[in-house]
Amino acid sequence: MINILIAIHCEAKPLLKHFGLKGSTDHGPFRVYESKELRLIISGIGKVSAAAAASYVFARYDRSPSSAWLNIGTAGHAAYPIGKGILAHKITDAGNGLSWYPPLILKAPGQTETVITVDRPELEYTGTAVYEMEAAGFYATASRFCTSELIHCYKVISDNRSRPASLITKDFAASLIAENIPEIDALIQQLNGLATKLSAIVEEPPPLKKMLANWRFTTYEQYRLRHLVRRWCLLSDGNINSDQSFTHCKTGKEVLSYLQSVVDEISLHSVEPQ
Amino acid sequence: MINTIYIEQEIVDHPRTLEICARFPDATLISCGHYGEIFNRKAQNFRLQKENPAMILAKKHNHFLHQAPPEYGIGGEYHYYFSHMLNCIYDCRYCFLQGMYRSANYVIFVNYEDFQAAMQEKSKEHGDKTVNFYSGYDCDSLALDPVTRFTAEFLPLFKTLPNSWLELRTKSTQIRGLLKMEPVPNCVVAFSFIPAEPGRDLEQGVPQLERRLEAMLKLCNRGWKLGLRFDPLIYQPGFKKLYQELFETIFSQLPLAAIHSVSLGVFRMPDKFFRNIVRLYPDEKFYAGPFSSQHGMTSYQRDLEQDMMSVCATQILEYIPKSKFFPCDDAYR
Ligand code: SF4
Repeated sequence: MINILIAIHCEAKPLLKHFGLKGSTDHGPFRVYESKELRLIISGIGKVSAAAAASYVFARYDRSPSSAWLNIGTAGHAAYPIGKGILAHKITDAGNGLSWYPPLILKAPGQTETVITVDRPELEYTGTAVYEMEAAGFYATASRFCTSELIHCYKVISDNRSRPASLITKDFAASLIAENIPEIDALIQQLNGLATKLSAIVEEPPPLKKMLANWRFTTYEQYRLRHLVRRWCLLSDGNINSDQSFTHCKTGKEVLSYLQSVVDEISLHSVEPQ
Repeated sequence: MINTIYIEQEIVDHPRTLEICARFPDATLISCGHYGEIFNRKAQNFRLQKENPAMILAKKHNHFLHQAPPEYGIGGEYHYYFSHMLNCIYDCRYCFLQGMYRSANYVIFVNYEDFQAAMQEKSKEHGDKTVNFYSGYDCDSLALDPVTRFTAEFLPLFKTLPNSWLELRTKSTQIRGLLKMEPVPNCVVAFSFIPAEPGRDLEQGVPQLERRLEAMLKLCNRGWKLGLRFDPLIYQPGFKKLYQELFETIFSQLPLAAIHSVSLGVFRMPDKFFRNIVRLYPDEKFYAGPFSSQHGMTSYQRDLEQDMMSVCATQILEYIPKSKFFPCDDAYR
């Protein structure tokens, strides 16, 4: 799943249409749109709103550590042409000076740049960075939920020294996002690939669920069981029958002690790297 | 190969920074305050980052030398390791770095001059006692040598420190820099090996055993002293035969006179690193092996560990005298 966070509805409109996202029936403090693979939330303007919206999605919808998070929006820059798409390689909160560095293990669909999150619209465009108002709040919050390789910010230049922010209309903002859908698509596909990879890694070994349902284990025993079942599955190359192997076990403790002896035995005889 | 380079503001104009950046003209350069902002952050996945690591150029401010663990020794009285670089371009599944660091990015500390000053001081402090400096603890000493110019910068120093030795530890074949210079008599170029069969799966990106042996032969013909490091020993059924073949292949090709030292140690790492790696690679069969934990360290079960050590020690001592043999546990000498 990819969670997309956008500040205002007009910027989201082209994406809702392109990805066929439907409004959630759940009436909470934020408007949420969903498909099978994407979720989009309208956060409102500013880093506090962005942080709150990200927290809301995590708490209400998606606690998976392998979901990806993407902040999309418009931004200003001294000289970059209007409509240019930028992936953030560094995000600085102008308020407190803290910075985040989204790891660029994916191939950026366009240019990357430093993004500075400000509390009020930046009209001077000092330096070479891109200015906007949500990224730092979003990034600081989302990186509490998942690994930073899966969290990114993509901004489309909407204003610069020759075309000030006062000229941006709702339709204009929507058109800027719409023009960059190919880049956004490319980004989403790569994020999807990484998220899928990560979710395959964190997947529980298949027999575990059944065993947890069939016997009772304390929290510590569950931890041991998970560890032993993982080793058992790897060492047996998946050729195991959890239904038959433990028919003689009456308690969770018996399961653990039998499984330990099985794993000890096969680990000496079958360890060959994959 | 490197698409992103993070640079600490403090060393943005350091000549070595400029030299390294010039080698990657297409890389995106990103300035940062302290490398830890990137390297030490929580919420990073070493395994994902290993797919496309970035480089971080930084300055080391203190703790240039660390006392080496006693089992690291190859003779001499004092032992220190140092890390001009953190992380490695290879991807050995058994490597402790993936359990120790959160990030797979390569950190290069560009202020070599400060490391060298610390070495000079330490060497002086110990008078005429032998001091060993080990360079391949948190990285491979040579794998990135064309970029870091580590050997070209550090080896001349050792010509002026006759009581000190430098160990370069490597799995690479990047020896061009060494072949260009006169051999340094107090430097050991040490190569690590595991048998080819587990190596193929467990050592991603590492040059084949034959190519490493070729590199060793070139170095020895040029007059460099060589080290052999069978550490970590890796278990798999039939390990006795696999190691026997490995020792035979290596010792039959290298002249004994060129071998400075051979060390031996089983796979071991702190429990915490082991747990971190299992979390990163829950699908890795190697980590499902016959391991156990003792005193905070994970290694093979005691009987197996002893068996591996004694079998390999006996086999090695068929090829070399005891004076060149440095097992991590003196019981096997
Ligand atoms: S070569 Fe050494 S440092 Fe590099 S990954 Fe392998 S074990 Fe680790």
